[in-house]
Amino acid sequence: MNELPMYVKVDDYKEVSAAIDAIKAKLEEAKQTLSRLKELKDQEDAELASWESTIADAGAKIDDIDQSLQG
Amino acid sequence: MKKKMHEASATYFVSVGNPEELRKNILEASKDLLEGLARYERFKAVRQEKLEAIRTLRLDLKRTALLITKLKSHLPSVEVSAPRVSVPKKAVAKAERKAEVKKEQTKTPKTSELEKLEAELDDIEKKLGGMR
Repeated sequence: MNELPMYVKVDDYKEVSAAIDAIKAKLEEAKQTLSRLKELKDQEDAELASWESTIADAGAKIDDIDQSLQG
Repeated sequence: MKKKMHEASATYFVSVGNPEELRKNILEASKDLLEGLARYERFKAVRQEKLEAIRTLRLDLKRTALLITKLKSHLPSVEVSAPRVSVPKKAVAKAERKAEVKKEQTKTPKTSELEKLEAELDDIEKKLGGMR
């Protein structure tokens, strides 16, 4: 690795500092979006699970109806 | 002839053991299916919001990558030394795995965006390899 000291012009330094702040802000936004995405995924999973149980319930009722008509 | 016609249209009845229970089951099955349809609408809305969040996340990452490029442009360019000859066994195994994956990937067509990103990643990894 290059061990020589590195110098940045003051004007550039200001730009660098501003860019770092902007990157931090963007990463914070990304973190929040990712967190919302996780929430939505959980919501989606919950909807799918209850959908599954609704379909199973309907199936059981149709079986009951079938039994009443046959018996 | 009249008798034959009558026979053809004969109506048969099946006795229903518990008609009240049957009606209740029909209504409940119908209710379940309507609930399922309502759930589908909710699911669609959640999925839409999820897609929107994925798009936002992609944009955030793209903008962050652009900002990093901007940051790099303000820093002096430093020559990166060539990677050392002695490569750890772990790295060799990783490179071999990568080569295998690449070989497999070349069999299937990839999106140009993915190719571009992988090329950029390779480039950065090479630079990082030179620094170690």
